[in-house]
Formats: sequence, C-alpha cells, structure tokens
Amino acid sequence: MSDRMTEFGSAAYSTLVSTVRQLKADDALRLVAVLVPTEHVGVAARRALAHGDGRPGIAAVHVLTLRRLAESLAAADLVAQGRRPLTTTSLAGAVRDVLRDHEGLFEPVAEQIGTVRALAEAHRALRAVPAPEEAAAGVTVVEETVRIHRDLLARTEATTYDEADLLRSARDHAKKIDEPVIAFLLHDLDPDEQALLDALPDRHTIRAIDTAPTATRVLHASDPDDEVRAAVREVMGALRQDVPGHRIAVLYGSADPYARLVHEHLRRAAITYFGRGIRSTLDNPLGRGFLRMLELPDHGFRRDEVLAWVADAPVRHQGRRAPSSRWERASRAAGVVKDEHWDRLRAYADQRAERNPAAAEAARSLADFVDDLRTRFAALETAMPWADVAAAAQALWEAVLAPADEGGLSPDDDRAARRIGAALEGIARLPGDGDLRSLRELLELQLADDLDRVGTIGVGVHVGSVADGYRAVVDRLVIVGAAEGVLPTRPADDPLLPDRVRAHTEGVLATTIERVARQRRDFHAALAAAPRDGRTVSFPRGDFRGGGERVPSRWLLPSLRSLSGDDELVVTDWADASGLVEMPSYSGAVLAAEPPTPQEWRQRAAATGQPSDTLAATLRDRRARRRSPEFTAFAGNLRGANLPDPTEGAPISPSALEQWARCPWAYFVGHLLRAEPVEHPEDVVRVSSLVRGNLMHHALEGLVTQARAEGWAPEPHQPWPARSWDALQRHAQEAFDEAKARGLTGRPLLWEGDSAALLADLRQWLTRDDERRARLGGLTPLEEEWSFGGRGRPAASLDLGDGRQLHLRGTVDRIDVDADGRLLVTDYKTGKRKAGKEEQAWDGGRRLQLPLYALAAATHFGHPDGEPLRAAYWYTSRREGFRDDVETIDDAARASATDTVRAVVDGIVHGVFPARPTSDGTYYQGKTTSRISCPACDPDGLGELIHPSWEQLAESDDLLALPDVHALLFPAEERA
Amino acid sequence: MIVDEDARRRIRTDLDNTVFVEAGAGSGKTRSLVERIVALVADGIAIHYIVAVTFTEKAAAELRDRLRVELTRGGHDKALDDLDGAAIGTLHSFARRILSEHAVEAELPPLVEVLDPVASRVAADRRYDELQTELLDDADAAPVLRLALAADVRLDHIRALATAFDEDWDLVDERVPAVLPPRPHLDVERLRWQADDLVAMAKHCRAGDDRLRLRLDDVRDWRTKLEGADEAEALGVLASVPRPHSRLGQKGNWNGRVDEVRAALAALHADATTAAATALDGVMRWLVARIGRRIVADASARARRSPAVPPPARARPRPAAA
Repeated sequence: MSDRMTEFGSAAYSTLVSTVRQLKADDALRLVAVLVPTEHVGVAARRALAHGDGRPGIAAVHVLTLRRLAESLAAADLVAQGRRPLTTTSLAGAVRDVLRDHEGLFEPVAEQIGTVRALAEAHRALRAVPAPEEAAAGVTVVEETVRIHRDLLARTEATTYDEADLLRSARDHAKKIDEPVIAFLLHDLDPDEQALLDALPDRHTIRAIDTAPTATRVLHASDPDDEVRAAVREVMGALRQDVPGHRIAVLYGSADPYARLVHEHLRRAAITYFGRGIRSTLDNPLGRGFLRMLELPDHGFRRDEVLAWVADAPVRHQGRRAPSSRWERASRAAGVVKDEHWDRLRAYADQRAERNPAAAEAARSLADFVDDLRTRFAALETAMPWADVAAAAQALWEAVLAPADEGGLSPDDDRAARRIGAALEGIARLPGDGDLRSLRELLELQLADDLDRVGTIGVGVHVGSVADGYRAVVDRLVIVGAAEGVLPTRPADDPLLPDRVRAHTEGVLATTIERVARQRRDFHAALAAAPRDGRTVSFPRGDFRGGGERVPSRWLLPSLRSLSGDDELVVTDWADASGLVEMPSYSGAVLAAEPPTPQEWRQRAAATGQPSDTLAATLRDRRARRRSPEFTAFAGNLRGANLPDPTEGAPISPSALEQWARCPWAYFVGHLLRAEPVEHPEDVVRVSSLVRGNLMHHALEGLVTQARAEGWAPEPHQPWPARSWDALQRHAQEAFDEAKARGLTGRPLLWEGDSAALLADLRQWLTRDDERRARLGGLTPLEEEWSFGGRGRPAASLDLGDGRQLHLRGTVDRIDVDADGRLLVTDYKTGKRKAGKEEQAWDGGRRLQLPLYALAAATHFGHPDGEPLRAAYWYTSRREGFRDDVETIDDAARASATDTVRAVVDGIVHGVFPARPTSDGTYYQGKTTSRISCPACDPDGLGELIHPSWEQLAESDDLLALPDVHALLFPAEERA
Repeated sequence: MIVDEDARRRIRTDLDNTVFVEAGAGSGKTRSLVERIVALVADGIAIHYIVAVTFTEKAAAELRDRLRVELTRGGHDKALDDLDGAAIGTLHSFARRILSEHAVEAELPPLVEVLDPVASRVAADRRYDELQTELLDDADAAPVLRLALAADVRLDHIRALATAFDEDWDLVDERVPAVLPPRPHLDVERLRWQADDLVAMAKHCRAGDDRLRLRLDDVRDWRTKLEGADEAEALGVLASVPRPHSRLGQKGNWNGRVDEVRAALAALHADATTAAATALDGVMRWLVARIGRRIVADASARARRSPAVPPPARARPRPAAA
C-alpha cells in the first residue's frame, strides 16, 4: 500500500515507471496492474513503461481502466442472473413508461424529448448518491426527480445492470486480485468507484497536484478559423523539427466550433490524428436518412421533403439506388405537393407513356415507391407493442435504406448500419406499447450521442477537449479557444439536480463551482502535459459566427502577466500586454507563414502573380473579358460560332422570334441552351396567367368544335343558341378538372374565386362574340385552335426576300370568314392590354404573331390574292372590357413584317444575343435600378451579372456591321 | 472631496436597500458597482448569490476583471475561487440561466437548446410556410387574401409581415387586437350609381369629339367592367377609374353644365380611390390581426410544443359599415 504525489505531465509518468520498478523489485516478470482513467492514458502509460527509465523497458504489466476491471470481475455474474447492460434505449423507454403512469410535476413537459433525456441523465447521476432522498429534502423538483429515479430502478434492476451495479458487484470479487494494482491519476471518483478501489488488497496510488503552470507562447487570431489555421501551422512546425506526431496534442476548451475546425484543418493538411469523433450515427447519411424517413408522415409526405430525403439518403428502390433526379422531375411535372397528390403520378405516367416512356416509367416507379412507403407507415399510426413497432421499423429500414450485403461498404456506413440494427433490437425488447413518435425519439436519443473515435489511439496528433487530454504527456501542446466565455464554458445549474441539492451530496455530485474548478485543474494539467517550452495557447479576438469581440480567458492571466512582466495586468487590457504573438489576417498568413494545405500554396502562388498552372491564367483572362465593356462572348456575342440557322432547321414559332426581339439573351438561354427556370408545384399558389389563357382556349375550342360537328354553329348575324352556355360550361369544367388534376390551379379556395371569374368571362364571351361577329361584317367561325408546322402539319413559309425561306409553325386561336369570303385571324388575349403607342413597326419584332398568322392562314385557306386580310388581338376578359384591336394586313404591312422578321433571323444567325433591358429599367446593372427580375440574367437569384451597358453595346462594331439588326435593337428614338 | 461623495458612500454602504444609480458616462458607475459587490462579499454574501448584469460580453469581462483585482486586494479568497461561476454577464445569459435553472417551473423541458440565428431563421421560414398554407386553406382568410392579391399585395409582402412579427413576437401580443376585426368588404353599389349618373350626363354635350364627352365613354367602359365583378375583381377595376381634369371639355359644348360634369367626374374618381384604399386598409388590418394572433399562438406553442393550437377566436361578423 502506497500513496505518491507527483506533478502532471512527464513527472507523473516517471513516477509510474519507478513505482512499477519498485513493485517488481527483483522479479521482472511479476505481474503488476495499472488502472488508468482513459484508454489514451493507457497507451501513454504503456509507452512510458516500454521506454523505461534508462534501463530496458518493463514487461508483465497489465494496463486497464477501472470499468474494464469491473467488467472482467463481475459481468459474467450479472449476465448469469439474466441481466443485460442497461442501454440508452431501454432507459429512455422506461422513463417514458414512468411518466405515462404518473407525470407529476413534469406534466407540462412530459411529452418533450428533452425531459426524457434529462431524467435519464439525472437517474444515472443519482445512482452514485448514497441517500438521494435526504439531499432532495424540501426541493420539489428534486423530490420528483428522485421519485422517478426510484421508480426507474425498480423497473429496470431485475433485468438489466448499469455501471453502478457492475462496480458494486465487482467489489465482492476484488479480493481475488492478488497482484499489486497502481491507481494512476484516477481523480474525481464517485463512491462506488472508490469503494472498488479500496477493496483491492494490494493497491498503490499515484496522484498529481495542480502546480498551475503557465503557457510560454500565447497567440491570438481574428477568429476561431484563423486560430485553428495557426494551430495547424504550429503542428507542422513541430513535425518538421522531428517531434513525433503522437508527442503533439491540439486541445480545445469548447467543442463548438473548435472540434470540427481542428478536424477539418488537420485533414486538409494531411496530418494523421486521433481523438474523439465529431460525427454521430445521425450525421451519417444512413442514420440521418432513417430518421428523416420517420419524419415524412408528419407533413403528409410533402413532395419536397420526400425528394430531398431521397437525394440525401442512400434510398433504394427495387434493389437499386433510387433515381432522385428523375423522380424529382416526374413529381414536379405531375404537380405533386403532398398527400393525395401522389396519385397524380399515375395519371401523368399514362399521359406521357408514348411521348416520353422514360419519364412515365420514373413516375410509375415513384408512385409505387411512395404507395409502399405510405402503406407501411399507415401500419405505424396506432400504438402497439414495442416488438411490433420495431419489426415495422426494421421492415422499413430493410426495404428502403439497408445497404445490400455485397460488401464494399465504407467503415462509416457499416458502423452506422450496425448501430441502427442494434438500436432497433433494443427497442424490440422494450416492454409496453410504442408508436412512431416515441420510436423516433428513442432512435434519436440513441444515435445522436454515439460519437465515433477518429484514427487509432496513440497514432498521430492527439485532438480532443482539454478534459480529454489533460493526463497525457507530450512534447508540444496547442490549446485553442482560450477566450472568456469559451474556456471555461459558461457554467449552468442543472434544473433537475441543482447546486443547492448537490451541495448536500458530499462531493458526489459536483456543483457548478466545483465543475468550473475541475475545468481549471484540467486546463492546468493539460498545460503540464508538455514541457515548459512546448506550450502554446491561443484565443480568438472575435467571432465571425456569433459576432462580437472576445477577450482572453481569465485562466490565461498568469501566463499573460508572466509574458508581459506586468503583475497588475487585467485580461481586458490584454492588447497592451507585450510578448503575445499576433496572427495576421488570413490573407496575411497565406503570404507570410508556411501554407499547411495545397490550397493555400496555390493561393500564395496566385497572390504573388505566379500562375500556378494554365487554369489560373485562363481564369484571369476570362475574368478580364467578362468585365470588359466590349460586346464579347460573355455579353452574348457569338459571331462566328456554329449556330443553328432558323431558315434551315425545323419550323420556328412567331413567339420565339418575338422572344429574341424582347431580349436576345433570354432567347439564347431559353431556345438555344434550352434552360428553363424550375417551377415547383409547391409554389403554385394561384393559377398562372398562362394556364388561365389555356383554359379559356380549351373551353372555346370545345364549344366551336361541338357546335360545328352538331350543326348549330351560329350563322352570320345570328347569336349563339341558348344551349351554347351549357356546352361552354361543360367544356370549361372539363378543362378545369384536368388542370386541377395536374396541380395547375393553385390552392382550392383561391381557385374557387378564380374559376368563378373565368366562367363569368366565358359567359360574357357569348354575347360579346355575337356582337363582334355582327360588327365585323357577319363572321362565321371557320377554325378554332388551328395549328400549322407542327406534327404532321405543313409549315407556313415566309419568303425573306433575299432567297431565304423561313418555315413557321404555330397555333392560331381562331379564324373567321366574313360574308365576302375574307379571313379574320384572331388571337385571344387573357392578360392585361399594353397601353401606349408603338414606336417601331411590329413593336421592333416584339409583336409578330398577327402578320405571321395571317400569312399562314392566307396560304392555307386560299385567301384571295391582293385582298387585305384582317387580324385581331381580342382581349377576352371583363377586366379589359373585351376590347378588340383589329388590324388590316395589307401589302405594306406584310413587307414591313418581312423586313422585321429578316432582321430578327439575321440577329440569330450572326450570334447577336445581348441582354436587353426592359423599358421600365428592370434589368441587370445600370442606371435606374439593379433589380434583375429575369431568370435568364439571374438564374441563381443572387443578382450578379456583369454585362456592358445597353448604351455601350450600341457602339459595338460587330453590331454596327449589321445595320438592320442594329436598327431593330437600337431604334433612333431610344438612342436620342 | 468629490461633490457626490455622499451618494458614492451610500452605494458602498447602504446594502440593505435597493439603490437606483443614474450617472453620466465616465463618472465611475462601474467603480461604485464593484465597490458595492465587494462590500456585499465582505458582509458575508456568497458571490454566487450576487447577480450583475451588463449590456455586452465585453463589459461583463471588464466587471469581472475589476472584481478580481478588488477581491484579491480585499483577501476574499473564497469569492475569488467562486467568481468563475458567478452570474456576471449579459441580460441574455442571465435570462438563459434562470430559464435553464427553473426549466420545469417555466414549463420548459429541462434541456433547452437555444437556436443560433441561422437555425432560427430556417425554423421561422418553415413556420411561415405552414402559416401561408393555413391562410390559403382557411375559408375566412382566402377571400381576404384574394382581395389583397387584387390590390397588388404579393405573398412576399405577407411573408415580410409575418417575418417581422416573428422576429419580435413578444411585442406582438399587446399591439395586435385579440379578436379578429370583421372581415373587410368592398361595396361598389354606390359607385355604380354614381357612374351611371355620370354617363347619363353625356346627353348634355353637343359635340361628339369633346374631350370630356370622350372621357365619359371611358367611364362607361369602366362601369361595364364593374358589372358582375366579384369583390376582388372590383378592387382591381377601381384602380383604373378614369382621371378627372379641371380643364377637360369645352364649356360651349355643355349647355352650361360643364362644371357639374367635371365635379361629378372628380367625385367619382375620389370616391373610387377612397373605396379602394378603405378596402385595402381593412384587408391589411384583418391580415395583421390574423397573422399576429397566429405568431403569438405559435410562440407559446413552441414552449410546450403541443401539437395543435386552435385558430384564433373570430369576432361575430358585424354588418358592413354604411
């Protein structure tokens, strides 16, 4: 029996070596056991023992933790009693049961997962307290907590065992250990641990005292990111000086944000490290995917949630990875939002079966997939025995997510899959009933905390919290995040076991003050792990995430005072202290310090003007051209490029030509690149004007077709017969129903109003049409929705007057013939009428439908040569008062339309695609506004586009070389 | 001796009473505060029973610094040891501390997580999506929304309103009526008569091309658009009411009634504009109350996370104001 005091760090390990040596005396093979606080200290201890103390290393030493010792002594006994280890799942399940039987004080928060978690933690803490009732006396919350603790114990102890059981049971077997046992740096033991230790017959203790060492180097950087970069540079420097990786440690006071940052930066610098992991099973795609799947029913299987889940998690369907992009497109096109909308997929599939079999197949497989999912979840809607809940969840897991057994699974995925399996097994064994919600909670509890270890203990740089690393021994140590508010972490009292109760537990439950004191001791011990000249501590001056300034931790004060030689220094005056190392800004560090990562090497090279490769040179050149005020390719100048010639390819529609005139860039993006903004069915709140127009067209087409087929179409100067309204209503309703089934009509209540308004417009259309046919000379409807140039229909041909022919396609809303056999072409307009006079013929090409439709109709229906032909825009809404804009297309109009079309075609052929601002000034960058409202210029919604201004383009030589195109884009009035 | 030495002494020594100190910047408030805390400690009060709240983290660090210096000087070793755990910090950190220490009493789960700004933004967006769906599916709200949309209010505007409420939900309750105001209505009957009367005045004009006479044709077209228009459509039409002009029309063409016609045109324009504005005002008040109530209900539901919160109480519809 011996008790030795030493200092933390290498002194402690020397003491260990000499103690072992002493205990072995002259028998080198005499077995000695060393109890260590952590596996990591175990590795360090083995290394120290192997290294010896000048004499050869030491053999026959058994190094293990107290828990491992207890397990080896008692686990077999406990299992023989039919007990299993108490898991998080079974404990949480038991907490739920206790609360269900009697909520007591926890009634308002009994449903919350945080309550379950906190009660489970309190239960574990109370296990070590000999007489919890006494400590709790008088504090209602704690009395309630103790009541639940007792209840939990009663429910679980017959079938399970926990750490306290293990330690207590091991105590009875402790006598069996007859070799000497050294308790090495075991601090903060609870009564059960201490009792086991005390029961060992031949025990020796090595304890360390806090000598409050100081840091020899204190760095500060602008924020945690830069701080960690600096720490990695320190590590690289040490490695370069041949300090072995396992003799270096990087520790942090608070895991958030430092754990992730340190892992990330060390990985980027390709430095091997080990330590506590930062990712739990829930951070793995399989774990996260499983939990997300269980949340899908919460919002009625919303399309966006289902598809986001399919894209994120390795979801499988029919043995293969689910085609998330194809499914996304199909569900979007089918107009699925959630719940019963999923049925739209099958209708969509039927509709697409011929034209796009791949899309139809995707829709069908997604429909099968979601149906299956919903059926399986429906089974989980009601409470049932946990074994059944677990079986249903297991079936879901296997059907949808469980990776195939072919192997090739990454260690991460493999671990996650095994943990999920184990969690479900544990849940299956729970007594009582469960449901989907509780299932999710239990899984979350179990899977959120199981952080993995990264790397192999003792191989590479040690990364961890100050508490993880403090009993180690290294040559170089960097502690990051030593700022006020981060180190120590802000102490918070425990709501279930507050300090006023903890104070009566004789140190078994540490109070906040004791916890902070332990943190400070850990910090000092961590510093002591490295020799004096190997300790670096850093702190951030600010925090870019949370905002605000930071000051060094109060615990750095002795170091700051000793470095500056100013014994009166206070931490808030740290900036006046000398001897601190200031890390320059990120860019400064890239230029000055040794870059730890390839990326920073490249940045340094680029910053000093040495293109590291041709890519950099190319990028620089491209950027200059992109910012150029000239009409470059980036501004839409594709002169000389191999572009499709509209006069040689498939027929083109008048609206495509109009699109070029409105904005050549938007034409390029839409018609040549075929890029379209993605429209989500979720965003369809209200029927769009495009769909509104289509509905009107369909209803009217139905009416006219039926009337002509049945022979009741009105004669000239005759009104529509009485039955027309019924027929029109029926056709409208059919069109409405179809649109609704495709998810185009928006939210039902708004659609109620909108559809009523549409019907009112249609109703008035009948009388307005009577009046109109009479007014325009006794018209007879000839065609409704007449198409040309499409599938199987001859295209209309326009002679451009220079030997070229342009083939046209399109659909004319309506063609009438008057009493003299002359045609009237009508385009229905359901939108708003544009006011104001046109400055250019055919609005500079932005309005070409009427002359081109007139041409097509004249050719096809044999309009008498030389006879002018009438064409009209008819605004068929009450809002626009059914206004009718009729124009006569005579030879002069035809000639000017041909000139306009030729200029548009030339623009396309010669690759002229600049972005054109609208007349109200909403465009890219420029004088009146910076608002960009068009997806062609701002596809990502970030609003950055660099183009020459429209005025600059007007002076471009390439454009001036095409006078007709130039005149179309830059009319004289606009330029004046 | 400093003129306010008495006040300073009182801060230092009058430990049994509440003291309110008001003084200018740089006058030594913090110094006095430190002295008072040290005096309390010397009087036997444990430092963890003392709360000191500051505006910023930096001010809290400064206060701690000065306390450390003074407690060291006074030899209060126990208080120095416990200073790390003392409640010296910002109002936020103190509030958080109270809530986490008395979570169950505050009907919060014992482990609460404070969302960072980004996560809380995401959660707010999510809540808005649900709110929008709820409004669009609510038979009372949808017609009001349709009115709003007709008046060129966009759903983005409503999102902005909800977001602003959500950010300061604690201020909403007292400012937004507890009961929904009556649903806004737009009644255009009187405007129709007014327009009919005005159109009828065209008979007093002798010249067909008189500009006032032509404007009356516009009024006639406008009047036609109101025919059979539902509320939302009518609100859209109101915006295009023909404009009056004081010099419109030739006096000689109107049989001495030109001023009367001009005045009637001006009155129609004014009345239509007012009707539209009143309707829009009613729409916004209704939406503000509806959304505000929902945000308040959501906020209290978040504390308990009870799955469903009943929609706000509705006032009995009152007959539209005459």
